[in-house]
Amino acid sequence: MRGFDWINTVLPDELMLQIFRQLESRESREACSLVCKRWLSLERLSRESIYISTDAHIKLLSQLFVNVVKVTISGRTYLINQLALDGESVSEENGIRKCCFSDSVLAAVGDGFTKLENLRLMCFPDAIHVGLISIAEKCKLLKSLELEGCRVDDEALAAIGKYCSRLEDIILRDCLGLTDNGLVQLAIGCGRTLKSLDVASYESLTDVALEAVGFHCSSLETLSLFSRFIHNEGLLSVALGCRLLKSLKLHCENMTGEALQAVGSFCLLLEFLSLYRCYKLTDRSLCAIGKGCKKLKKLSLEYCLLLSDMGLDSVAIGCRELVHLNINGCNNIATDGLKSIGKACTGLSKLDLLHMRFQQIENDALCEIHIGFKYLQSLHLGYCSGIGDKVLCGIARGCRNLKELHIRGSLEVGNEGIISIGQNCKFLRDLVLDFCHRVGDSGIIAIARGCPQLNHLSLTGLQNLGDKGMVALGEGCMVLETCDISFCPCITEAGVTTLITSCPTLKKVLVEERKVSPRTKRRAHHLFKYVWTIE
Amino acid sequence: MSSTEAKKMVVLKSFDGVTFEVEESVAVQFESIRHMFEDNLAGSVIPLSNIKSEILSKVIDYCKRHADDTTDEEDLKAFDADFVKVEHGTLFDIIRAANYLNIKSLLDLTCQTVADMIKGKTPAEIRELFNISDEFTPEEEEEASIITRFIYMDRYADC
Repeated sequence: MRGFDWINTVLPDELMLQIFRQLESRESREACSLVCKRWLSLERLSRESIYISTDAHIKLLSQLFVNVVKVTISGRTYLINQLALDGESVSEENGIRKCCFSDSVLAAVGDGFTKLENLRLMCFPDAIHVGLISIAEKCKLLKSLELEGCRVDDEALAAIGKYCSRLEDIILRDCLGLTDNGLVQLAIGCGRTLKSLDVASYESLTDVALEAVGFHCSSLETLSLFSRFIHNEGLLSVALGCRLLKSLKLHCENMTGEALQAVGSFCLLLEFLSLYRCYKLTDRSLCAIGKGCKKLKKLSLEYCLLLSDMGLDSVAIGCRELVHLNINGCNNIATDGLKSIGKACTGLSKLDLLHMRFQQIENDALCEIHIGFKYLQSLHLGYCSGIGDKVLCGIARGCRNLKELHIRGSLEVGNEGIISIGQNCKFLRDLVLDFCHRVGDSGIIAIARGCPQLNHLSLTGLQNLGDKGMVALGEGCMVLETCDISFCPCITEAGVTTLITSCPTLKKVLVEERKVSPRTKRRAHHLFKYVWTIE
Repeated sequence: MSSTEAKKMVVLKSFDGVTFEVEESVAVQFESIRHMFEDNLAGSVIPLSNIKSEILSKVIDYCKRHADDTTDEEDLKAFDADFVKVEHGTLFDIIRAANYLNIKSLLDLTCQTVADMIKGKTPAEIRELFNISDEFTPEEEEEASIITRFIYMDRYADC
């Protein structure tokens, strides 16, 4: 006999919803919605975000899920679904032609989801401006709009600017048809409320657009920009107009130092600055950043080739709160700049040095770079010349708190340096030594003995690493979860079997299929991921 | 008597007429009726017209334990785990009482208990657990399940 249904008798709707909110997993919520009619309707009421991958039932969906504030629609998923339904392999071009989300779909979204605050559209290469305009007219509460790989035109952007007076967050990535005029209209329309703008365009977005942003968007806090046609005027205007800027990310090859100097003078709240391939920037502009942006926490200067030690010196003097520095590919920066960072920014915990060219003459100086970086937790060294065993021994002794060490493609690092890491860095959890050909068994044995917390290990392409290293890993690394030992010719079937049987926590191993014995394969097939090899 | 005199007491009356005398330091956790005894109505009885005495005494127990600063973290956890081991009916009554009195930590604890019971179960198992009668016709269930399934595609939304 059935007992009494207490839960539906005692608990009012608001408390049922409270319980649903604490469920966390999608599967549990799905199960709950199928328990009874009351739970179904309650669960639907509690949905705040949905992902639409069909064009057929939008009206019905909007009636069922009336509290939805976030809608994501992807042309891509629709395409995948279509393929799955048809059960036939359609080539990509055919597939894209089939993807026919139309303006009427967007209009239905605008009509149905009246509480919409957050809209994300991906992969709509066909014209959707009529749909976008109707969304703009109807969804007055819109706070965040993200368009990726969509075709937009000036008229649509102007409509969004005109009607969506609460818009705070705009992302326009790889959008076709984006012009200066469109962005100007958008800036005029929702400039006052806009807090975050992210634009990446291969087409001709110029200073005109950015000038409008600087002029109209005075509350902007985050700006991310990729354009080849931006020079100085645009950023100058942003620096003058957007004084609340906290995060600035630029990939503008034609920008020069003048613009950045203005940022250093006016954007004093800046916490995150990322400059990618800004080839024309000079030390003078970096000095301005050091002087002005005292709150800077993260600085990334990838492939800004003209920057040198002098610029980094002034950052060190000015930005004492720095925690993350990335100078990948800045060939003119050498040890002096790093030394002054080490001396001044004692809180630095993450350092990225990829594709650096340190001169051999500096080797002695390099050995001392670790002195300042006592609290460093993460170090990435890749394809750097000039960093060999001597330097690594210094780093091992100086940075004993290292948790993450990535060294890729170094021909100078060998066993000596790695042994020193094993002896000194006992907190290491993540180690990558891909294509460091001189590292062999003795180095890995020292790591296995000295770093018991090692969790992730990648040893691709080590020519001298063999089964002895595998035995040591099995004995020493009790919490190893992922291990990449592909393209290591000296490791044999026996080595792979030893590793698998002695590391109980392993979850993923990348290796050539021929090195896994049938028996090991049967026992632990779920662990393996195989690399393609030409036999 | 001398020790209780020093402490201010609050009198609560349950739905079935039982009165409880509670130290003010314990009763302050009842957010929604706090203003009543803080307005210095000393001696007057605060009626809680929708909480049974059996439930009220449990809630007071919980608050007493949580008001005691001397209990350490581990003990408190053990107490909480034990506290929710009651019959379903009682548990749901406590949820309602916690909501009515606005005791956030107790509401979280009890709702989480129910959520944990639900986790990982199929609709049929949940129905059996709570004695919920199945009102769906097979067609309705099919339809609901289809809609639910394609709406839950939002697991892709973040990739």
